[in-house]
Amino acid sequence: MERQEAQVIRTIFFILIAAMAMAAAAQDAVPDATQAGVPEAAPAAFFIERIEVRNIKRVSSEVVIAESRLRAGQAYTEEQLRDASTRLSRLPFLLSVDFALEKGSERGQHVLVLNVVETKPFFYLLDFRPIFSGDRFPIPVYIDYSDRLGSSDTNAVLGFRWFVGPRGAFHSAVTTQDDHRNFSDDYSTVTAGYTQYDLFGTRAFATLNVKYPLNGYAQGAITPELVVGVPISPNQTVTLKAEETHLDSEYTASAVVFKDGTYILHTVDVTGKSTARTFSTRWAYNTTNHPFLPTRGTFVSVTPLFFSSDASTQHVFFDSETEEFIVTPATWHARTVALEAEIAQYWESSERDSWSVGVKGGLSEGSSRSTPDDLFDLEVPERDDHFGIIYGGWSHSLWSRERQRQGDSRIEVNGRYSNRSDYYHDEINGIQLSASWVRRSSWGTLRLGAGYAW
Amino acid sequence: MVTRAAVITALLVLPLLAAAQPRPSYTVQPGGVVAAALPLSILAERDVRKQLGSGLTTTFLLTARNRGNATISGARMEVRYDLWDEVWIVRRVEFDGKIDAQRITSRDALDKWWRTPLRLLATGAARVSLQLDLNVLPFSAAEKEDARQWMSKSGGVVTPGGGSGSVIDALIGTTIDAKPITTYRWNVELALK
Repeated sequence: MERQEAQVIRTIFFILIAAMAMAAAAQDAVPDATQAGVPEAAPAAFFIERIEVRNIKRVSSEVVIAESRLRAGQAYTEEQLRDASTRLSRLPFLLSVDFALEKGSERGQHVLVLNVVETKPFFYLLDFRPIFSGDRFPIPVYIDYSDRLGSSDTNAVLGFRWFVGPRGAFHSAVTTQDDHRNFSDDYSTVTAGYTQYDLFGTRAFATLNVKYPLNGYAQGAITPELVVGVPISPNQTVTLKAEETHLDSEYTASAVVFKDGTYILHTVDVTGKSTARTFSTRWAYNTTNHPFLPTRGTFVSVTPLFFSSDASTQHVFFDSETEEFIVTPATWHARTVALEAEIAQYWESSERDSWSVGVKGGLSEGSSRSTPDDLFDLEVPERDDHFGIIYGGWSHSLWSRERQRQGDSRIEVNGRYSNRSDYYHDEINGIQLSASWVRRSSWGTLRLGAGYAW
Repeated sequence: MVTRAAVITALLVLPLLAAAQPRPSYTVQPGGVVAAALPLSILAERDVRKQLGSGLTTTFLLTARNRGNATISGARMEVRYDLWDEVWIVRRVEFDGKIDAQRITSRDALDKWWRTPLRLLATGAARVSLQLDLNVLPFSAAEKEDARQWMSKSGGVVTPGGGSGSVIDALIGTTIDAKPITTYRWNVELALK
């Protein structure tokens, strides 16, 4: 891509991000009716002396209250309660929640009752949609399954979650992920982690994950990941994420020499280590009603991130004169800064029908160096990458509203146009259409379907 | 023989069941105004009754689609039971933006208020073919400016007179954000003259 063209794209991208952030912040400017005290002049606000969570079996009620971002001892308007209801519906461990008021201990005070339906402690998220492509092979277009929110880069999760203490939860899971980034590796992991909710009474949460990467060409080593989410308003959250991935590679290099009518095999074991670190800060405005497959609401996110990768390996050269391998220690260092953003809107046009449209994209600038300098043939020591996706879809629930309290069964048709630069800076454009059936139950979310891309 | 009897019984009972479905009653007021009174049985439905008892507002959003000229109009009612004062705080917004708010002290009075026809649209036509949708929504109407703008620009709300502002006032509410508790749809042909 021409430098000027890249500059224009970058400028448009930054303007869009600024506009998105301002629009979302303006939408989120709710009237402040949360000051302590029993309201007298504002009858639509309710003073909440206590919050009770009912029908609770496994989930901690304190976690539910913390995630509602409501506090006892304050007054809330119905709009604020409705926003809290939507926030709770985004929790992966709740299937539905109903709000009701009861009389409090004194006149004008109320008990807020949250009647919840929990999901099972075992959970899954499976997105199985084989995408068939056109006339070129290998697959000529960039195909991905990330037309979901939340764990948008994950197409399979299988795990277990159990709550410990008033505000903690352990989880373990097997996940696969595929991001849009040229600068980072895609891999599956076995993950175990712990989340502490309502940190220091601030409604913030922190998750510490220990991951074991399962990679095709390298063995993983225990990898830590820390995620801290800080709510800055009822619908806005800043999430800080730090991740360090360790991969150990080991393979056998071989060379065959024909000598005196005999083939002689020479081998040498080659080892390597790499460490990749990702630091990201995501600001998100979210009013959607589901963690993965919402049917209404707005989602806006902006994520600046920094990525570094340091690898030590061995460069192997077979000297045919001496018939020996020459093994040279080598290192590789790469640094990338990136900015990614997404905006999506979901509408319900009827009791059963929902429409969506969204845009997401990312820009990155990276540099790399190696020692010895000329060891690796670096075609692009400094590189700019980008990706952009426009997507939309329609979904229709096969279930009535009443039945949707216990989950959902939907037919979906999704389309997307994507443009990205690949590792070699070639532009890849593609259109993808898919149809699928989505089943959400207390066990998890399953999407089965098929698509075509060209 | 038993099967045949069951089929005959079912055939006889089904129309009766259909007739027993709650339906609004319609009145035509001066100026070609069509009004509808909703059946009381809606308030007795399990989920609606539960929401009415929640101490939070229940919004009844009526959307009237005139299939003859493809216009949309509507009205809404809001009902909240005040737990401490033990009164029903009710509000109705009709198609032309007329608002009526009351505090009702008894269930009988609430039923009477509920049965008062709600003015849905005005038309000069001799006949109208209406599709009436009722969405029962939890929480109160939140007349957020962004929602108002979205509805105005969406092209989905028009009135014969072109003054869509009051219709938006009537229709808006939690339509953007809230998940309905239940929904109803009725179709009716009305002769106005």
